[in-house]
Amino acid sequence: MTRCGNARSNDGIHALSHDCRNALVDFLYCAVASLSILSQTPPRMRFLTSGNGMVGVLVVIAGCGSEVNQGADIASGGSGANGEGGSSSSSWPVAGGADASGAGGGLPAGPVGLAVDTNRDGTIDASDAAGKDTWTETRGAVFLANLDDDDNDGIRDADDDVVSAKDDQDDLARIFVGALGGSSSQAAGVLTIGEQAAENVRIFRRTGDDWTLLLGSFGECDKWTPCDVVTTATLSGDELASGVELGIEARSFRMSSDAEAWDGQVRLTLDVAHKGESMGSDAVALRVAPWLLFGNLSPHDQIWSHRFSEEFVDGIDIAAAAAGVSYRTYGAYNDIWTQDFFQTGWTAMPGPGGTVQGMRVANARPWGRGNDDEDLPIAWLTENYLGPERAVIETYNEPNTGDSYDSHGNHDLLPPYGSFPHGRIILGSGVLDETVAFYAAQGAQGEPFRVDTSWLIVGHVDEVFSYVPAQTPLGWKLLVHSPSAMITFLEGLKSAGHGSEKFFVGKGRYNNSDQYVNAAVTVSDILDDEDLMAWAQEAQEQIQPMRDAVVAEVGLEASDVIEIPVFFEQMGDWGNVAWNPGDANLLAFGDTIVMAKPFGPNVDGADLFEADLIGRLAVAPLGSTGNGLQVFFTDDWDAYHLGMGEVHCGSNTEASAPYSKKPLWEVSP
Amino acid sequence: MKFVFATLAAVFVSGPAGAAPRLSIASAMPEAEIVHLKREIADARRAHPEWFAGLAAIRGFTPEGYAMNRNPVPVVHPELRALGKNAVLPIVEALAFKAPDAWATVSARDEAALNEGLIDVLGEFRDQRAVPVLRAIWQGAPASMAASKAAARGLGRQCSEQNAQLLASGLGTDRESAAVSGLGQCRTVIGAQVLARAIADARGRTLEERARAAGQAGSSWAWRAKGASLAAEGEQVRATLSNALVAAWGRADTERPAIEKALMMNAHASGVAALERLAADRPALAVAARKVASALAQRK
Repeated sequence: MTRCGNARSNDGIHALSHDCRNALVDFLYCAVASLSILSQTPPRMRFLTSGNGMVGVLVVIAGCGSEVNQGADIASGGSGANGEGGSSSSSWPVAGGADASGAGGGLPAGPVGLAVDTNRDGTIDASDAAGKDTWTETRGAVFLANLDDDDNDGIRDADDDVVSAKDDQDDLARIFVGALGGSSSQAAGVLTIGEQAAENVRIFRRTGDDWTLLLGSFGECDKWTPCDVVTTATLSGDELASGVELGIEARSFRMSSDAEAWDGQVRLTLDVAHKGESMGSDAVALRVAPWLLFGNLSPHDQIWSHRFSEEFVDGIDIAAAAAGVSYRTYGAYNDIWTQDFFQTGWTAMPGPGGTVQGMRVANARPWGRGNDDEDLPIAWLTENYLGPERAVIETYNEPNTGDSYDSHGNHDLLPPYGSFPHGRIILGSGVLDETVAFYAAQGAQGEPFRVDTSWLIVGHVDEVFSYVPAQTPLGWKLLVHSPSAMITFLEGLKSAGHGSEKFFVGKGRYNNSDQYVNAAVTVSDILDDEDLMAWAQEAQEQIQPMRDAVVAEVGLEASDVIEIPVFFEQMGDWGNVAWNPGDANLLAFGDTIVMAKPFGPNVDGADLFEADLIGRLAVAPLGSTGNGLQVFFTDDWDAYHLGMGEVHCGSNTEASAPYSKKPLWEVSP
Repeated sequence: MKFVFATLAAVFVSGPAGAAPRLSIASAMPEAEIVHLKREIADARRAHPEWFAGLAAIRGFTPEGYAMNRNPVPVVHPELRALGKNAVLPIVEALAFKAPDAWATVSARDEAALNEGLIDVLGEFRDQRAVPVLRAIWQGAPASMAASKAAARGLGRQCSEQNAQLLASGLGTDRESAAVSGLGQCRTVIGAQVLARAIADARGRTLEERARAAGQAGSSWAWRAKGASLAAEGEQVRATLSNALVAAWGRADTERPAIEKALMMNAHASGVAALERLAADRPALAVAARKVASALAQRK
């Protein structure tokens, strides 16, 4: 190996000869230990190991490190004192163990190094050195907003000062302070982060199995109770000599792209001095991983709903069992609109060995259906959702703000397309400014795409659109509610001689009074209803520009759009709502969908509306295999339809790791 | 009597609910109509008390009735529609003479929603017995635009020449929105002619609202529902409105999307032809006009 002599430079490694730089790279690769090596070998560490299976810590392995000595900036980017000041040719051995401050008391000269997983491959090695101090979309270390509760104490992990369970440790991204083998006890290193970053992160120092809060936010604090903030911390000469393992977590996602808001990044600098004289500095840049919204094509493994409606639950239960998906119901909460009061998403960073380290993250709606704090969705989530790998967040400025538009059925996800490999958030009308800012600030799912839903009394985008997998180049198709398809369907029934057959047999028109008015109505009577027809046509003309906008945005072909028949009725100036069960408002998991039982005309024992829907959806090329979707129906008439919603509104879904086919860090975050 | 006091407040009198005197509606209704309606109501109550009980049982305007709705706002339209035409006299009674006791204590917002729903659905029944009440509301002092609009829609649904002229009298006044809302339900040649004239000299938001009404009045689906016997009238109405809309489109700017929606609802061949003529006469508009014409030709 090349031996690098007493290099003098003004810019650290960049001044080294080509051969010398190659030698450094060789050294670093040589020094990178695998997980197995780390767990079995107690080598002379140059970067402390995590001891928890973290891959990629740097270890000086016999026969490697000794080949490189002075002038070598291990962390490749830091500036050594010999370069900074050029005042001394004395060395600070990277390997060899000489304590320069010892016998001679001379100035240790050597690298000052910080290392992070810059290239997001789950390993910290030489390939992470380049550009480590500048975060870009394609390069730069990532850390988690650690908002789950691994120790199950009812407090989010990032809201307390401790690193508790092992799972909590795993949620910390690692930063290594390289060992300065020759540092003296008089040397000191100062770690610094910016004030704004400090308000949003915690950086811990590991000592054995203990983690001590070093930088960032101190104290138990939350969104409305600020923490104490510490922006600098000092490492002792002994710590510098042995190296230090740090762990970083965020207390918040990036909330806004405004210039004055935290940009999600942390720039950590290390300045080392000996007896007041600078020995060099180094810096790394990291960014909090974004929050991403799950969509219909996410690998859902969990369904949620309220359990008050037996028939509704039974219908979902059958479908969930058939698909092998877990189904969890709740009862002691006064909100049956499970889609609306919380939103499921995820966040992740590279884990050891190419794994995914992340968590599900539920986002609470700002308002509940009562006046007490315990009615707020965040209270329910904290009590019923928060736990290991299950985080909860609020993105609103104040509780009990917003309106129907802020229900999460109005915040959906267009599945992946074009330059949105994780999909793009689609919003209907309204929505609190801070919520829109939060979505946009994540970056991963774009600036939200907006459509006009103000013509609907509920006003949610899920009253019009849904998305199902398909074996097509795009991978999915758009479902859109269509009064036009409904009238075609009805006229088809009439032409086939079914004009006197009835819809909604056995169903009532309202469920919140002492009466139950028969809702049954013939096909002909529907078609002869002047008001209903005018409302339906006006709804069609409201939907058309929404549809045109999505088609243009995604680049959909006509064959990528499936119309789902529905009529809307107007409630005076309040707006419109689905007149019959709106079946595009469906629950989707994998290749399975659960739709509202349409209660169409029953002819020869078959529901003709169900048959129509099956004919649209249980066919090629829909489904991930292209063999059609598995279509199930559940009775939501009393429980949800009469309350102005359908199956999607009354349910929720989430997925577990790896969350997505494409790791976040392989695309632009 | 408590409800009459409260309801009429929202309908006729500005200010807090519960301030309006019952005389407001009586003064706007012919005495003979009052006598006639009261007699019919009394007879109906004796013969069909369940009709009145049905109305008294609606809950969509009460917090317990709507709190669990997806959007927890008071709405009574579905319940009232479900009651069917048997609810005409109970609604007339509730609006004009005596409301169910259970409705005595209602918040202002809930009361406004109840009133709008009662008036709106009463109009949807297209029952002649409702007309005196709807006219009285329309002609009374406008306190609630939503109630005025609902009453106007009701009059539009029974669009006699007299009702059409009543609605037309509101154009260009502080009842413009209500008048337009009513004309949107007025599917007659006279109504279409009133609306077409109104579109001809409108700009901005006024034009958009009048265009929307033209779309509703000329709705091809609604006319299909009205049946073959009215097909010729429907053709005339839709042609009248389509031509007015195309003319407005030619001079419009930001109002065009609203006009285009209305044209699509009219879905009349005369609109396509008019757009083609416009494209030929005004080259600067040719591309856009032909695009609209192409979309319109696909509507039915």
